[in-house]
Amino acid sequence: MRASAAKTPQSQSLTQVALRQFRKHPLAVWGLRILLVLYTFALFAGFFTPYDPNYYELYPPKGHHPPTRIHFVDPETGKLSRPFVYATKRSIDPVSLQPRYEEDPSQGKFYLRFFVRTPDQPYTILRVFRSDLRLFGVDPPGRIFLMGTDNFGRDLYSRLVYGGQVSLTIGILSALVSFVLGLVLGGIAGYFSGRPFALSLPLRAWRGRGWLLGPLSWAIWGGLALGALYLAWTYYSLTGLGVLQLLAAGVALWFAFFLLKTLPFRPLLLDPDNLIMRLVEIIAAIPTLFLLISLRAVFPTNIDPLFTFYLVVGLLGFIGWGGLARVVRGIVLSVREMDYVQAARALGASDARIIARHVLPATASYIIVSLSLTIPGFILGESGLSFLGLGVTEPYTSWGLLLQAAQQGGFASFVDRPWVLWPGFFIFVSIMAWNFVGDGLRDAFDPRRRR
Amino acid sequence: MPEGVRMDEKRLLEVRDLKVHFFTDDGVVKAVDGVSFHVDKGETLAVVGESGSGKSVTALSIMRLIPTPPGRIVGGEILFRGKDGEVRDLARLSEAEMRRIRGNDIAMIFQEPMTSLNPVYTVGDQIAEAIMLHQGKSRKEAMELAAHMLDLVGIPEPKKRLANYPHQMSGGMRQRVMIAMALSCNPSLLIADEPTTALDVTIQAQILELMKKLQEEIGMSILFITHNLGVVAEMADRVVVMYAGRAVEEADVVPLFKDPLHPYTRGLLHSVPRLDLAAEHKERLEAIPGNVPNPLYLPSGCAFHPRCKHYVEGLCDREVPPLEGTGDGRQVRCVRWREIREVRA
Repeated sequence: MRASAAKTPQSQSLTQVALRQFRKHPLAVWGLRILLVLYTFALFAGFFTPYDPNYYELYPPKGHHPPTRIHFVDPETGKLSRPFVYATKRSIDPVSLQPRYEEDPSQGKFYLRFFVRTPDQPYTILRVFRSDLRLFGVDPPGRIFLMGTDNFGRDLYSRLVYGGQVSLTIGILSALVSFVLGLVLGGIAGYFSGRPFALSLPLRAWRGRGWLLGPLSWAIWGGLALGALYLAWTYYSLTGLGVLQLLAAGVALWFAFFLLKTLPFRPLLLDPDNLIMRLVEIIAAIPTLFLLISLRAVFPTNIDPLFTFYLVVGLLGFIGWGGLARVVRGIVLSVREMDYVQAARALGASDARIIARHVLPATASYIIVSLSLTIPGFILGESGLSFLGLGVTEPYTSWGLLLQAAQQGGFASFVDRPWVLWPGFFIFVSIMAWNFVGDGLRDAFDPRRRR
Repeated sequence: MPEGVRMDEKRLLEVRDLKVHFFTDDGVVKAVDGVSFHVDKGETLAVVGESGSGKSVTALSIMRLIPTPPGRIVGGEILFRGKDGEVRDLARLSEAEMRRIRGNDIAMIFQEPMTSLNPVYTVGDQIAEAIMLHQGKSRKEAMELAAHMLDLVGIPEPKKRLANYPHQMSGGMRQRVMIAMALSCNPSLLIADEPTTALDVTIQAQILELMKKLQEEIGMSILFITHNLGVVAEMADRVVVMYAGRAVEEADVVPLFKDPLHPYTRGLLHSVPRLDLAAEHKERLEAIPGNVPNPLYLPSGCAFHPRCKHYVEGLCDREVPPLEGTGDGRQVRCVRWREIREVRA
C-alpha cells in the first residue's frame, strides 16, 4: 500500500500514445515504409540512378528503347553468371516506322557493376554535395534502361526518380503553404470572432496615438470614396449615360455618403471572422481548375522553370487553405471559451501568445491527420497541372509531365511502349501510401478507435 | 494615469462607483451598477452574493477580463497600488499596461480546477510560463522556482510532479497547482473566484487552510468571491454583500454575522443550517422567497423589495436607497435599517 502510494504516475504525452497506436495499424506502417523508400530515392536521386535525367546520345539514337533485359544466365555456357546486359542495335520497322532494338551479343557482355563513378555525369544532393558515385551502372557503350527510354532516348527510370523529387516535394510544400495560411487565418477568424477590429477612429478618440491614426484612417477611407467616385465618372465619360453608369455612380455616392455619416461619429468595425470566412466561400465558389489555369496564365510561359515550380506550390497552396481555415476556426471558437484560456489571460499572456500556445495546439491532432490526408490531393493536383502543361516545365520533370509525354502518340503509345506508364504507377503507389498513413494517424489520434 | 490619483497609504485596491454594463440584443444588463469597496494591504475581503449578483463580474472587471463586446466598464475607477508603489486606475490602463499587471501584481484563481489547466502542457510548463512571462527568467530557473512553488502549496515530490499532465492529478491537487501558478510571481492581490466551490468538503478545508497559511507567509491581500457563508466566516476580515449589481451591506466579519442589518444579509444568514440552533428549534430552514430578479428588468427602488419581509409600499419601491454609514464603520443600503435593528434588539 505504502509503496504504491509513493509512486508517481508515469507521464505519457499524447504524442507517445498516438505513436503506440499508430504501430498497431499494419497498412499505415507499410504506407510509411513505402514513403520512406520513395523519399529516400528522391533525396539521393543521383545515387540511385545510373544516368543524368537529361542525358541522351545523338548517335546512335536510343529513342523509345524498351527496358533493357538483364541476363543472369550465360547463353553460351548455359550456366549462372554475374548479371550482365548486351548492347542493342537499332533498326526501323518498315511498316510502322517505329524504331526496333535488338540485342547485339557481338559487342560483348556488359556486366552490371555496383558503386560506379561517372565523371562525365556528376550530380548534386540538395544542390550542395557534389558527387558522381552511382549505385549501379554498366560500362559504355553498353546501356542499362530499367524502364526503357522516352522519345529522346533519356533513361525513363532516372527521369522518374528525379520527377519524384518534384512530385513528392510539391505535395508536402503545397500542403505546408495551405496549412500555414489556413492555420493563421482560421486561428485569427476564430479567436477574434465577435471582437471586431476598428478600421477608423471617430473624432472623440483622437487623442494620444489617435492624433496620428485618426486622420490617417480618414484619409485612407476618404481616398477610397474619391477613387470610387472618380471611377464612376470616368466610366460615364468614356461610355455615356446608361443604366450601368447610373448604378456605378449610385454605389460610389452611397459609399461616400455612408462614410460622411459614419466616420466622425462611429468607428468602422470589421469582424475578421466575417472577412476571412467570406473569402473562403468566394474561393470555394470559383471552379478550381479554371482558377488555376487563369492564375497560371497571368504569368508568362518563358519564365525560369524553377520559378514555375514555386509558382505551382503557391497556387496549389492558395486554393487549398479554405477547408482547413474553416475547421480550425471552428475548433478555435470552442477552445477560446475554455477556462484555461481565461486563466492564461489572467496571468498576463497576450493574444498572440494565447493563440500560439494555448489555442492552436488544441488543433494539432486534427492538423497532423488532415495534413497527411491532403498531401496526396496536392500530388494529384501537381500531376494534373503538369499533364495539362501548366505545371513544371522542361528540363525539370515530374510524374505528371512524364505521363503527358507518355500519351503523345495516342493509343499506339501504350500498346507499343507500355513502359511509359511507369510514372502513373508511382503516382498511384505514393498516393495510396499517404492515404494509409493518414488513416493510421487519424485512428491513432482518435480515442474512440483505440485498440 | 497622471500622478493626481490619491489613495490612503494602507490601501491596496479601491473600487469607486464601478459600473459594468453588458449591451445585449435584449437590452442593457447592468451587471455591476455603482459598486464601491476597498481592500487594505494584507487583508481578506469577501464579496458575497447569490448567483447573478455581479460578484464575479466585479472580480473580472478588476482584472479587465470582461468579454468586450458585449460587456464594458462604463463608469467608475479601480485604483490599484502596484508593486512599484504607484497608484493606477485599472479601468483606464491600456491593454499592454494591463498585461504587465495581470499575473504579476494581481493574480486570479478560478472556480473550476478541472478545466483551468491546459491539458496539452505539463504542470511544470504552465507554472514556468507564468514566471518566464513576468520575471524574465530562463526556463531552467523558472522550472526550479516552479518546483519550489509546488512544494510551497503542499504537493509531495514536487520535482517529479512537474512532469505530470493535469489529467494525472485530482481536483484538489489541480487547485493547488492553480494557487502555485497564481502566487509564482508574488502578487500583492489574489482574486479568488469561488476557488473551493467545485471541491468536496474536506479538500475545501485543506485549500482554505493553505490559502490562509500562504497569505501569512507572503503577506498578500485576498479578494474572495463566494456564495458560501461558511467559507466567509473562515477566511474574511471584512465582507461586502452584493445584490443585483449593488453592494447592499459592508461590515467587518464578526459584526456582520452577529448583527446583520440588511434584510438580504439576514436572509442569507438564516438560510444556512446551524447545528447549535437545529437541536433546540427543529424548524424548517428559512429560505429567502422568490428568485434573483432578471437583470434586464430590475424592480424599481430597492431591488430586493419583492422578496423582503420588511417591505413597505410607497417607501421601498420608489427610489434606490443610498448606501448609508451606520456610524460604527459599517455601511448598509436599506431605508429601514434602524427599525430592523431595533426590532432585533
